Order: sequence, then structure tokens, then C-alpha cells
Amino acid sequence: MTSPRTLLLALLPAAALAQVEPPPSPVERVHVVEKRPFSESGRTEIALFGPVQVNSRFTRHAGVSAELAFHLRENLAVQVEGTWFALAVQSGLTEELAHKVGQAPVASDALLLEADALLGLELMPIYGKLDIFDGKILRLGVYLNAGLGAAKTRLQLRSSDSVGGRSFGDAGIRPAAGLGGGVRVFLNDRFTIRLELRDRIYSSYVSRVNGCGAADAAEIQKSGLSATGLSQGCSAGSFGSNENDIKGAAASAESQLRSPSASVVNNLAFQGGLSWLF
Amino acid sequence: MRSRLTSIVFAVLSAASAARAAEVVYGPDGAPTVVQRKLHTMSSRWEAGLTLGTALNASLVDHYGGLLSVTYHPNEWADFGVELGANYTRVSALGQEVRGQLPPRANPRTGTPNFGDDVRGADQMKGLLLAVGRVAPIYGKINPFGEASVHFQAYALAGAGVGMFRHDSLDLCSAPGSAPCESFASESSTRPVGELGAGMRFYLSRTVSLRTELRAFFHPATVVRGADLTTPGTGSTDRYLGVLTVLGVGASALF
Repeated sequence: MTSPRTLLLALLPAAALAQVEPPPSPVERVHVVEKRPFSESGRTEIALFGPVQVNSRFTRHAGVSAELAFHLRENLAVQVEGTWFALAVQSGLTEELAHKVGQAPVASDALLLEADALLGLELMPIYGKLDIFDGKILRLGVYLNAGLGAAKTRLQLRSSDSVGGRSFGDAGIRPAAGLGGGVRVFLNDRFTIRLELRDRIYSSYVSRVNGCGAADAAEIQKSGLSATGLSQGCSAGSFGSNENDIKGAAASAESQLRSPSASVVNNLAFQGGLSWLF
Repeated sequence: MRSRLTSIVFAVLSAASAARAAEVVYGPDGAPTVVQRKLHTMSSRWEAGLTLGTALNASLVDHYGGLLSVTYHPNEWADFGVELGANYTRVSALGQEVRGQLPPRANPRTGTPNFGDDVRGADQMKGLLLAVGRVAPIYGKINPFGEASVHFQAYALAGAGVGMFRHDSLDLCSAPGSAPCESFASESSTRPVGELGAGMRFYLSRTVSLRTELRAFFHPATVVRGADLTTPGTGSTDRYLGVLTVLGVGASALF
């Protein structure tokens, strides 16, 4: 027969558990804010990009871009950006239409962006995390930016299969703006990978090439280096190094300037790059 | 004696049960260990999706279409299956403008035929059937709306199959003569097609996700060169690699 004392001793732990277990209560949600391991606030960032135009219809652009940003807050930065499009040429479609059916886009649609400089702001409202093949977890930020500045433009005067290759005429500096959105993936607290879509918007009113208007270009086409009565700032020598080049380029400029055209060009580029925070 | 043994066993079991209830795993810094994992798993699931898209680089032709896909995910980061696509296509406004300003087919003074080339990049991809594989190495989440998380997956894809193409020439006429074109030469063909692409999936729930993709379709294309503009069917044929880039947005269901 089991003694009452032994049974009491055996039930003691269960009794203790019953005493410490709290009574059922409604589920309480606890909001946990995970502290970020590092912050961009108060830091400077240098980024290097390789932009490639993705909406190429009449033009093709690719080049390099550098950006200097100062992060005023975790999610707000002021930035200055400069881009040089080493490749800024008419597209294959433009040249094909010129060769095969004798047609060309109006000058404003074929205006090339040689370089630009923009000053603007960046807002990074969205943070997140990602992992690659279930491995290391990386942090990311989704950002938007906008800026204003100036763009240096040019017109292509000779096609790629011309003797001597392509030639260009300076079309001047135009006001420009930039709108972009992208992702910043933090490799660590100093280096990030940047993927961005940037729309460079610039005015493309074209009335002069190398400082010459349509009448000047017609005169140069006719007389070459000996052209006279040119407007101020227009020089026949700016169209080439020999008489044939000058006359040919001036003829192309004249045909593009004959009907002055204006437009707002959107140069949409995908740009990937790396940045360094310090 | 037997009853005492029973009591001891009962006491030990009860104590062990109490100890188990209080067991908590702590990490190195004393905080409870939290295991982060994917909210939406993909292994051993089927996926059916519909993506609507438009061509980005075909200036002379408009493409609007859809791609229906059925794939199987053997693990978390890969899936494979088939895709069936159909496009509504037409010569674009730019293409019509080009057609409207064509040079004469023959010299107006002498009547001598002019020669010319067909314009490249005017192929219309009407339909396609592809075997496709996807690799999704990146899984992540963002918090765009306060505490609400949006989980996403980034993937690359590749596929191969056949496509149904139509080519409406922009400058070669279908009828002989030197009068301006009233109808243009056209032909239909079936060609091998390859595709490369990348995209992102945003999970709305465990079952439904939104996808956005950029795909490049490659196909062997031809262009007529040196054709007598007054006589259809003349000239030689050159080959080149046709590329059609399509931006798509769609949804898929996992089951």
C-alpha cells in the first residue's frame, strides 16, 4: 500500500509547476525594433557607375558616371553627379533608315548626350534584407533621387561607315534634370552595390551646330574653308580637317538644321556600380 | 517496496516534465535564439503564371502579348517547365511613317529600276512555345508600408523552343511595277528561339505572387539585300541574330 507521504512527495514538482504557471491571458504582441548594425547618417559616399541607355531608338549611349553624396540622415542625402557618355552615337536603326530608305529623325530626336552634371537629393524610404542561396544576409535600401543641372550635347554629322568614320558637331549646353530609382545592397558597413534606373531629361532645341546656323552651314557646304559672312562664333574649320570633310559635315548639319526642331529627350539608362561609404 | 518504486518513477517523470516546460534556448549574448527563415517556401510546388508584356526595342513593330507558364519547383531556388506565348503585333507608327516616305522604286526620268535593301528589325513574333528553367538565388524582404513586410525573390531564367514569326517588309513591295507600294512583301516562318531574362517575384501571400520580368528573345533572322524594287522576290538574303526585348508584368499562383 502506498503511503500518503510518498504520494505527496511525488506530486510536489507538479504542484510547484501549477503554482508558477500564469493564468491564461490574451496574447500580447511585442514590437521588436532591430537596431541597424551601422548607419549612413553623417557619412560621405562615393559611387562609380556604368550607365547604359535602355530606351535607345534613334540614339545609343554608354559611359561612366561618378556620384558624391553626403548622407544628412539615414534616409536623406544630398548628391552631386557627373556622367560622361564615351559612347554617344546614332543607333543602328537611325543609320539603317538613312542608308536604306533615305530618312532620318529630326535633329532634336537624334540629339546626343555627351556629358551631364546634376545636383540633387536622394531619399531612401525603404529598407530590407536579402540572402543569397540561403547564405549570408545582406541589407538593402530602396531609394529615389532627383536632380537639376546641365547637359553637354552633340549631333552626329557622319555615319559609322563613312570614310573616316563618325563625326560630330557641338550642339551646346542644355538645362537637364535627372530622376532615378534604385537599390543599394550593403556588402558591409563601407561598401555597397548599386543598381539604378536613371532618367536624364534634357531640352533638345537644336538651332546651331558648332556655333553655326542653317544659313552658315549652307555657306560652308558651298564654299568650304573659304566661306564668308558667317555669324559670330561659327567657324568652317570646326567641321573637319580637310575641305571634303568640312563640306560633307556642313551638308549634314544644314539638312538637320533646315527645320529647327525642339523636344524634351528622355535618356533612360540602367546603371550598376559600387560605392564606398566613409 | 514495489509501491515505493512506482512513486519514485512518478516523481522523476513529473520533475522532468516541469523542467522541460521551463527549457529555453539562449544565444551567446543571452538573448533568446531566433531562427530566421523563408516565409514562403517553394520546394515541391507547382506554379502557373501569366505575364503581360510589351517589346522595348522593336521601334518598327509594336508587340503586345502574354506568356502563360507552368513550372515545377524541385527545391527552393530552381524551377523548370514550359511557356506558351502569343502576341498582338503590327507595324508601329514609326514604321508607317517610314513606309509613307519611301524613295521611288524606279528613276522617274529613265524608268530604270532602283535597288534597295529591306530594313532590319521588322520581324513580328506572333507566338512561341518554350522550355524554360529559372534559378532564384536571392530571397529577401522589404518594409515599404510601416511594419508590413513584402517578401521577394529575384531570379534569372533561360529557355529554348520555337517561335512563329511574320515579317512585313517596310520598303519592299509585293506587287511588281514602279508605282508607289499599296501592299508590302510579307512572309511567315517558324524559327528556333532562345531566351534569357531576369525578374523579381513579390509575394502577396503563400499562394499568389506578382512578377516583373525583362526577357530577351533571340532568333535567326534574315534580311533581303540588293533587291530590284520593281520586281518582288529579287535580291539576296543575309542572316543576322534578331533580338526582341520584352518587359513583362504578371501574376502567378503556387500550389
